[in-house]
Amino acid sequence: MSGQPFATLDVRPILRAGGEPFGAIMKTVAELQPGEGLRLIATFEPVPLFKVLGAKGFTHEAHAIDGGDWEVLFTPAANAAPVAPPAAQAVDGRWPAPSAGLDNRGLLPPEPMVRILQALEGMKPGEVLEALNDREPLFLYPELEKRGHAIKTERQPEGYRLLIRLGAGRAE
Amino acid sequence: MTSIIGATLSRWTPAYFAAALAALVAAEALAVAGLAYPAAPLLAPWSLVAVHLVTIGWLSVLMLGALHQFLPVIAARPLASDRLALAALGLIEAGLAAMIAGFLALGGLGVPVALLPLGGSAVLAGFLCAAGNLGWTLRGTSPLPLPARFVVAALGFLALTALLGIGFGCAFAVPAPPDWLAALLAQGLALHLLAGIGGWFALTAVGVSYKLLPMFMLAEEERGRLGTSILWLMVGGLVLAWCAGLIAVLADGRGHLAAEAGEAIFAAGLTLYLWDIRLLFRQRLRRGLELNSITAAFSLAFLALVLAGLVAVRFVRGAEAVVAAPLLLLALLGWLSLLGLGQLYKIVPFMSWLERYAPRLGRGPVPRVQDLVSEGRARPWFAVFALGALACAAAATIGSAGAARIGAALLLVSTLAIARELMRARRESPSPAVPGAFPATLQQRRSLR
Repeated sequence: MSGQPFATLDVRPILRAGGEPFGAIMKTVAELQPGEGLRLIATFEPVPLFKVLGAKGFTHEAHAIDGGDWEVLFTPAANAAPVAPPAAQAVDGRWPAPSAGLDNRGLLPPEPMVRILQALEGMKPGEVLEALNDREPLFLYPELEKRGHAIKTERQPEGYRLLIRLGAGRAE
Repeated sequence: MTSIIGATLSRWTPAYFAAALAALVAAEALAVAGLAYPAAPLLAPWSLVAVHLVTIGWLSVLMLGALHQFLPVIAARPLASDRLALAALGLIEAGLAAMIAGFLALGGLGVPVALLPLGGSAVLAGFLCAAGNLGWTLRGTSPLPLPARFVVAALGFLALTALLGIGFGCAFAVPAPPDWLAALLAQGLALHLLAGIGGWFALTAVGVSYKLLPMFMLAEEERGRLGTSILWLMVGGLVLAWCAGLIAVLADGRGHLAAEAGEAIFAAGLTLYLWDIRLLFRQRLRRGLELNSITAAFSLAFLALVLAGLVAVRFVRGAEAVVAAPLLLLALLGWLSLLGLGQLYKIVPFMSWLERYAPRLGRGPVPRVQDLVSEGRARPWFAVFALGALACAAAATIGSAGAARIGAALLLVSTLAIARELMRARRESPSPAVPGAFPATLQQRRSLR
């Protein structure tokens, strides 16, 4: 595709140092200009990332380059509007629209649970937190119940979408 | 939208794990003392004690303990009954103790040999309690995810193995066993092993690894058609091999060819599984591997070695008699025990962390799961265990009792060291590393929109 601007991110040094490139990738994606794509260079074909970025409206094109490394071009779908959080459309009548969102995909358990509970502590009763998880956070449910929060879970193609409404009287 | 109750910690799983480790240590100590295989003959009474300490006391109890935690997570519903979980453990342990006395009675201990089938029956009752409890927990979960389908098939073979074992016990204990029971005792050992190791252990290990490995390596859990084919090849091959094998025992050798075909199909399934796990490792999103995943990779290398060995002996006349038992040893220690110890090293800290820190999350600093363990301190012991497994198998092949005792000593020392690490993970209170609150909320809104 000619004229498509790409921001380049080479995660090979992170990978070779035994590190986790996921955070750096998501940070770069978050900072992309409208219409800008991502050129990612890695030591392997990052298959799981295709799904994660696909859910954000990117198409991908991967090819092997020298030395067994891979170059992947993530292109935003043509003229695609920024992916709106599904929350905006599908919220139950009595629940307010989410006032905060967490993308927990790509995190190792129990990190998603830690982040959700931390985020909830900074919110007000009645507010709704939206989160996207790779897995259903089964160990989170009893903890939310203890704290008096309500949760709705929905399986979606890109992961589990959680809506958590803070209870009015939070148990301490 | 669905609303779900969620999973809680299985109350008795830590007790299962402690009992399992104690049995492994006891079996290893018998081998170090030179009383049990591979330092003593395979069918010596103390060897039979050690073998059943490993297969029932260690591996079965370990797997059942893990399943009591693991199936509720798959089913997204609490375990059907905590009491039944405790009853199952009590029956299995009491039954195993009686079986041990029964085996020693074969060697001249002054207790009735009838303790053997009696103990075996108690063990079977314990297995059935556990299987019923687990099955009831899965009720209505449809479609069953792949790992749970492996486990359900495995539980069927567990009951079959125990039933056959009681048959052996009866054949020993009854003064004049009927002809069919005598034939079973003489030739049925292969069926007992096939159902126990191929059915119960292998299917459970495959099923549980299909859940735990993707979870802790961030790989795709959905294994698609390949995963389903592996299930059917393994289960279909086992059923064919087992039924044909039984006919061969009861009808004088007919059905041998079908039994071999079944075994080949089963082995093909396991080989495909190894291939699929290789894919899974390659597809993982998490590049740095944690100790439990590294240990799993090594344990699966042992499985590959066992499979290659089993194929190779077919082509070498007389080899089977020499290496069949060492290969079995390699499967029990190198593949299953190493896999089990490695997964324990992940599950135990994870469970203790949830138990202790979940109520405090978000309300103040808490340690991370990985702060409860020290991989650097534990890693060498897993290597020593793997070395011990290799040494025992090698010693068994060349028939050196001295080498076998050294190998067993490596196993014993490393098991004790790993057990100490697990105990530390349950007790230690490291200083908190996670800040109490960080502005993830705002930061993340941006990446979501």
